[in-house]
Amino acid sequence: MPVGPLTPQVTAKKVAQVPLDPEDEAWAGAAPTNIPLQAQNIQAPQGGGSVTQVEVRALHSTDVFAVRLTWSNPTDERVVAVKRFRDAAAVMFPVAVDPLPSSMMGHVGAPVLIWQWKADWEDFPAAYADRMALYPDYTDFHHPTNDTLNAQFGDKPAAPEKVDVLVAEGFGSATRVGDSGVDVKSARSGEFTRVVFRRALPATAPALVPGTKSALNVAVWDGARDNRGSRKSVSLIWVDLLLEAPSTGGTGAPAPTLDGPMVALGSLLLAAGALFAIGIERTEEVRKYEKEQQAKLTGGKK
Amino acid sequence: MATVYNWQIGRDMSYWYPQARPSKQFAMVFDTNKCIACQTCTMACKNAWTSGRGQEYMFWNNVETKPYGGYPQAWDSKLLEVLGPQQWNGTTYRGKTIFEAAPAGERSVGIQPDDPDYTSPNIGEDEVFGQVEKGLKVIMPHTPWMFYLPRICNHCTYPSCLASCPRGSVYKRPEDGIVLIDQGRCRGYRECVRGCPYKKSFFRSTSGISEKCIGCYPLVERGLQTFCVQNCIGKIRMMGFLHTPEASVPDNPLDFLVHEKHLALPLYPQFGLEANIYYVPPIHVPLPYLEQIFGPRAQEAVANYKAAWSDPEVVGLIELFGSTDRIMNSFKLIGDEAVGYNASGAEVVRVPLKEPVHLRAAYDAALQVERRSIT
Repeated sequence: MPVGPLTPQVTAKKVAQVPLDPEDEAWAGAAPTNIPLQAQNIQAPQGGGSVTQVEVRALHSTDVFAVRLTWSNPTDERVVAVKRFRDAAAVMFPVAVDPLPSSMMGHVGAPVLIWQWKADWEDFPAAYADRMALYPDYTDFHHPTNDTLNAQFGDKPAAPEKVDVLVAEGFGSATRVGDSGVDVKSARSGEFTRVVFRRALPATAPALVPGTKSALNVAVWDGARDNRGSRKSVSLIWVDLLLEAPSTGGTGAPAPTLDGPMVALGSLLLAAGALFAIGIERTEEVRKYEKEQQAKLTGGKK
Repeated sequence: MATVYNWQIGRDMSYWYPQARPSKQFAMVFDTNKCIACQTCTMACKNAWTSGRGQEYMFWNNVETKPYGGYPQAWDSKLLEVLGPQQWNGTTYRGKTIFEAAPAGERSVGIQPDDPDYTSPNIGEDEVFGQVEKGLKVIMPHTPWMFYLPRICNHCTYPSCLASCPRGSVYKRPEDGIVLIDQGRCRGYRECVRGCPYKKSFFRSTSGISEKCIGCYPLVERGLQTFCVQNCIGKIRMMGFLHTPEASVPDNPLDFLVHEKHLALPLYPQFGLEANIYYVPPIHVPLPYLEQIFGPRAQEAVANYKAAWSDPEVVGLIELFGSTDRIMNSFKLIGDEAVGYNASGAEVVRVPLKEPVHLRAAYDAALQVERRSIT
């Protein structure tokens, strides 16, 4: 019987309101998990490694889930030009958890879902920088100014979406699936970049169901180190993700996080009662509870 | 990594993907002896394809002066410096291709260009190598010398752009060997921009996607030559389809010039991409430079071109350059005319080997006026 999480775990704390703002004080109540990162050195082109860890916190309410990434990022890169790369960060979820797809972007037949924040998408169109301003020393840089371009082409280009949502089944296969209701917001805090991804708890993959375990993984791109694509700082193992199950009654009583052998198999309280479901074997009661919750999310079918 | 055969370097080499030649290969011949750097080709391409927002700096076709010019600046000298001196053994390349010289963790040796490298696209125009000394007269080869090098994407047999993309967003069409970047699949990593030794992949910052010469494939699919070829004032270009040397078809214009008559050579074959734009070398440029840029057959190509006037078939084919917007899949001399045929064998153009000459008397008796040249 497992006595506790064997791998790092992210626990999403249950709250009444889930903020999008990375600086919201609600994040202080979520337990941080530090995920170590390394350079991507499995497939050429290799790169990354300048970001050595990312702190992950997660919150959820009955119908919204959010995860916040924080990492040390001394140079805030938001401009894209021929040899300028912007900061980005992504969180990845398995589409199915049994069995888990490869932690390295899934594998054929076992897809993953990726939410990627890109610094220039958030800042469009300001990020389409005036070339003359980018290169002030080049007095003979014969490039049209933004004013000229706007006069010629009308409005400035717009970012495709707010956040990039992709599905992948292994290296090089990531394919955009379009906006799936994910919201994103970043903030700078000293030399740290914080990014929050927030979405309504879905009836579709990834099925994040309070009380049941899923997984997530992260990757960070450091624009100042010419990171992009496969040149990134990555974590090579899945990190457990658990959404705290709802607690009874009181709005302020936090669900205790317990490890070690706890809560014996037959004594769980359902429905109106509190359910503590961290790191324990599933029981009939838990399975029944899961089924009920799933039924609620899928609109009562099956 | 796989092993493929590259006939331009006379040996097997390693490449990211296995051997897969297209059923026919889009190719061109440029006669550098006739290029005047009028840049009409550049303007034709730009007006057709790169006049959009974010494309302002892109020249899918450019014409640069050698030795000092380059767009982007120093694209070739930087790479040659990184590769270092390499050796040919006859017509077999014994040095390292850009794939074989790849550093650890990379698919090729490559340099990532920066915005300022694309400034002054015509830098070094008409700048000669060497001093103009007092008492100089014209000798062959010239000292000092310069020549014009028109360049487009080489639609290589072993493209580095294609090999560089970790997502497989660059593909080579099996029907004609044209290399394209899938605009829907590209995510703007710019690995292709780094990987292409000729720097003919360009990043468009407004869309976050990279672009390159498309071989005017909408024209090629209709049996028409590309815009840069059609618009060339000096008629220095011909586009067609090339076979491998052992499959050469003598009445195919490209095979004839490249494989039969050894008049046209690829650009920097030592990079190992089996580039498909072939150049008649400038006969006035010293041999060491020509061998560095066109490979060890440069001397033979120069000699063959100098003797070309005596070969009616060569003369006829050169007359067919710039004579039609149609692709010629075969040609033939009939009497004192050269005739070009399309893929179905239908005649598309007919030109005389010698232009007819008409003499006009200086005085027009009927109108009773002097005929004067008005220019």
